[in-house]
Amino acid sequence: MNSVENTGIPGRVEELAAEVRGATILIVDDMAIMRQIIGRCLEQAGFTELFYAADGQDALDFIKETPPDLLILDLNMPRVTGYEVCRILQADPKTAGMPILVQSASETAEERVKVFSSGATDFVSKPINQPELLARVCMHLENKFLIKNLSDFQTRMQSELSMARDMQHSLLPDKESLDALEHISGMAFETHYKASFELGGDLWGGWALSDDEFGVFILDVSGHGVGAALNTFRLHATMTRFEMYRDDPASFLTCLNGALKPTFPLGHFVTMFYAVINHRTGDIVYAGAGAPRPMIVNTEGKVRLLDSAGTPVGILSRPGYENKTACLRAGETLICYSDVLLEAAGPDGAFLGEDGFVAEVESKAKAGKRETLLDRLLKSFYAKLPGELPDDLTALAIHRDQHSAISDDAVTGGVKGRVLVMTPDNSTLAEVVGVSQPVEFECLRVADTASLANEVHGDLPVVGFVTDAETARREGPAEICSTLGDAFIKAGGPIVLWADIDREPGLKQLQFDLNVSRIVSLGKGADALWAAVHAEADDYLLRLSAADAVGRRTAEIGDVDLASYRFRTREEAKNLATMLAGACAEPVPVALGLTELFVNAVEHGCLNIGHGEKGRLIEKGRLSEEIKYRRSLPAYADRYVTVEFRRTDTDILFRITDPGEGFDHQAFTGVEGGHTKKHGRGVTMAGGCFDEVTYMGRGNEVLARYRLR
Amino acid sequence: MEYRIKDSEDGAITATFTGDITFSENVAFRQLLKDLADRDITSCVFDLSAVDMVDSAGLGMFLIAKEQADTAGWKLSVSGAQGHVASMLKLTKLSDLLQS
Repeated sequence: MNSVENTGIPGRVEELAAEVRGATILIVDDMAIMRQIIGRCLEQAGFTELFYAADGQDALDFIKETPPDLLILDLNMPRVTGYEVCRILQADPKTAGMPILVQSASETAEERVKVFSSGATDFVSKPINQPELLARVCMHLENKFLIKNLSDFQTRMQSELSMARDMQHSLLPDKESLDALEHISGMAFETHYKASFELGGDLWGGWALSDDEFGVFILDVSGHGVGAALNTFRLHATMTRFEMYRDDPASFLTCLNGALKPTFPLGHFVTMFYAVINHRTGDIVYAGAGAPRPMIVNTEGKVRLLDSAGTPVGILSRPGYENKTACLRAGETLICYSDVLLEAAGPDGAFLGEDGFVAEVESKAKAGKRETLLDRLLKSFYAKLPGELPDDLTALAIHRDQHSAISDDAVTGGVKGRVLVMTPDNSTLAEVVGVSQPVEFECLRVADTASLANEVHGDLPVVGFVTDAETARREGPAEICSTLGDAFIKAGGPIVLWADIDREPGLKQLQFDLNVSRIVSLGKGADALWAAVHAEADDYLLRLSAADAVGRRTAEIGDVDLASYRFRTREEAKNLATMLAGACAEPVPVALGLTELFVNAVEHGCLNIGHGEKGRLIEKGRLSEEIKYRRSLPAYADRYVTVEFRRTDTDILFRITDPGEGFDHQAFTGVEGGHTKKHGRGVTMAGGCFDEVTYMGRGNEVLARYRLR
Repeated sequence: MEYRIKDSEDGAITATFTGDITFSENVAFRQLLKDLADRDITSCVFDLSAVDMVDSAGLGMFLIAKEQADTAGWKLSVSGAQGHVASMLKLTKLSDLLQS
């Protein structure tokens, strides 16, 4: 490339950038000799993509097909002049940015103005001076590529920022989960989120915790831009790790702080408010980490503030979060918001502040329906602060209904699946199933094990099996169990036996052989039968979901060798079982067994619902209601199940202690054949999942050993 | 935001702020921290009596200053906060951390 090195363009680097050298240049002149001279100059400098046109029209035709990167243009040409070419190119947005160098001989100042105003970029003097020509060509090409790169970069950054905003938006609860939250809680949610032009760090969310509690948080990651957004994602991911602590706001914040403090950059933090709300009683337990103070608006429209003061998450190693309590009474509203709402101008034009915002809320509360209070507040905010927001705006209003009632669906929990009923035509069971079937199940009747085998594998999972004693004997318990499948039996799949308790001989043996979960007496009728199926299916599905979740969560218990946990609801029991089972090589059976033990500890131990009593409640369809009722009583408020997890080189030990009265465990575990007792089944099931299950104390303490192999 | 530094002979200095302390002041604030690092000081008081507003980024800057003070072995405190600034410091309990 000698020609390149020898060119010597003044003020330029010797070697032309590849991008510039590869530029397409169109040379327009009606004199062939001029085209040649200019072309040769450029060729010598290393330009290769040179094209020629003999007049203005020729040039325009060429440009229409393939717009070049730069144009060198003569002014006086036949057909279409250079001026005309400039004007046409300038008028078309597609070509308006194309640099045009006009060859000039000796135009006057007026003429030069005329050339520039028609759209030329620069002049090159005539006769052609090679260094000058090259210097100008290179400069304009470099400018063009620089501008193009910048605008490409800007376009890309804009699209990436907008993608990041969308991603951040996707962290917020979607309509489906919001609907579910409203449905479970029976409260109306008004929510609003608007990202600032720069990325911000706001987030809110909520989740159902137990039958009558849900959790809701709002937070603001400090700062703006990509950094704040990344920290928001990090925080969101961290939150899912501490699902176990969601029922205790102070512990939840402490866990988040512990995880984030070491990784958060200095000067960055998260202000946050997290509350657990009991939608039946309106009781709120909450903890604050410096979020703007949430408000409760009473039925009169008066505001009381919650104390959300606390060190923001990510600053101190021991932030000392505390739980505080409040109550959201019927007809009241809880409002949580990000601080940008306080930045709107007040009536006097000054910064609104908390006092101003409280006054605003109180006046708007009385100015219309309560369910649209947030909407009114936001309309007034946006009217005062038009344009781009200085920071993300998040606001959330939770309206507790005047006549707060528990939704019925929350009680039954929406069981989905198939129930298979095995009984011949004309039996009493067939008659019962014929007239009454629960809507939550797809119910299917088969006559014998042969047809049962055909139905066991379907689209919907089998969540229950019902048969009568006569059919069970005829088909054989072992045959039935093997047809239902090992997985169903091992996970304690619900098997409900319809039998005449008083007249049936050897019922207990049959119950044992068939792994029966519950016997329903003939005289109790269809409601009792379906209630039993319901309750058993609920427990079964809880165990299955624990087993199902275990695969995804094995990492969490990773480094822990000794820990203790406590809980008091079925949902928490499931979550903990899932997490702890992750430590075992075969987590699925362990999750099943732990869930069974934990749920027993909750129902019998914490809530003092005895086995016989549970059966009676199930038959009346009142179990969920009773659980809710007992949990609301002060006497049961502080009753927790504690679990000690201990891992050695050879074993994992779970010690589960409940505050209950225990039971006569020796009757179930001591003697051979003890299983035939009605409620020995749970004990047996747990026994099958662990290497050793030992009941201690008065039966309220159980030690389950899992050997590491 | 603007700031003015008043020295004293015993190395106890006062930095007086005026205007809002927000995200957009982060360059000016870093300059202040650099100024402080270049001096031999025993304590520094941030006088916030003429500050109307502080946002989360502003609070973050106080934390960075606090870290610098702890590392370099001088004492940092804030004084004179009022209105919104005072409530922000109280809400986030940074008033405890930056006690005068």
